[in-house]
Amino acid sequence: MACYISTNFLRRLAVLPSFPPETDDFMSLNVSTPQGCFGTSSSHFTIGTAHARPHTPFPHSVSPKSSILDLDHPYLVPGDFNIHNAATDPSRLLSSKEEKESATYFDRASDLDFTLLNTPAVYTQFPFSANHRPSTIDLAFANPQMFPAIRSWDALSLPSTGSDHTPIMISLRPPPPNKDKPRPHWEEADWPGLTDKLKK
Amino acid sequence: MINTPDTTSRQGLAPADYLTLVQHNSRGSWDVFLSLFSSVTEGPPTDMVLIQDPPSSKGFLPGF
Repeated sequence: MACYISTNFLRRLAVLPSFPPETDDFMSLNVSTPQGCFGTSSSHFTIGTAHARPHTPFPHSVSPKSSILDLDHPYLVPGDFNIHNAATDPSRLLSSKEEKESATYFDRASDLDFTLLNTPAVYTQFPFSANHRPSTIDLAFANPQMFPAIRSWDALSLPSTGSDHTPIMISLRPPPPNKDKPRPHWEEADWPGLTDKLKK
Repeated sequence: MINTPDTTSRQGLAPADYLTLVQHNSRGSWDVFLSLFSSVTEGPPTDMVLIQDPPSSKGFLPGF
């Protein structure tokens, strides 16, 4: 695992990397600023990244609990999870093993109200071998505090690098302001007084 | 040379309003790594690049 951060970003924000002891295939960055994050009052957010290598027979080198963290502040975890699921690849005929493996991650994500950012059916891996079909194993999950700031998940714009995986760009911005049209506050009306006036 | 937080001057922390990151499995390949950073530096400003299976030499990650 490796993470490269622009110097401009490091000048603006405080970043603390973290490496859990249970695996070498996950790391996280805690980014903090007292000025708030993505239009919220949260003083910090966390970016994780995982490379869940498949072990024989199971589980992967990064467990669902180690990667899909239960945090009370904005959290995003993109990574190569090496799992197949109908939510990301609806046309794939899944084996029972694939369903079982992916269910542990998707169940935890669902239990914690995470949102999967992938666009369904957009492949992220194109094997060099003709015997294997493209797949969607590079996933990104955002927790409920982070999701409103997600603006795009894009696996198509960056050019191929020569890897069998596509580079994926994720953009975060403050949520747009609430542009709902003004509406009456019926509950604040003085209905008895208004009824009397109408009767007159 | 890789710049670290210690080598940059802090001018006070700013709000975290915008973040663009790139995620990629580079398959341990230097060519893939160089190709990725070539496209990242030519594209829109990117704050973070998260790499799975980065190339390494004698235990060190590539710097630039």
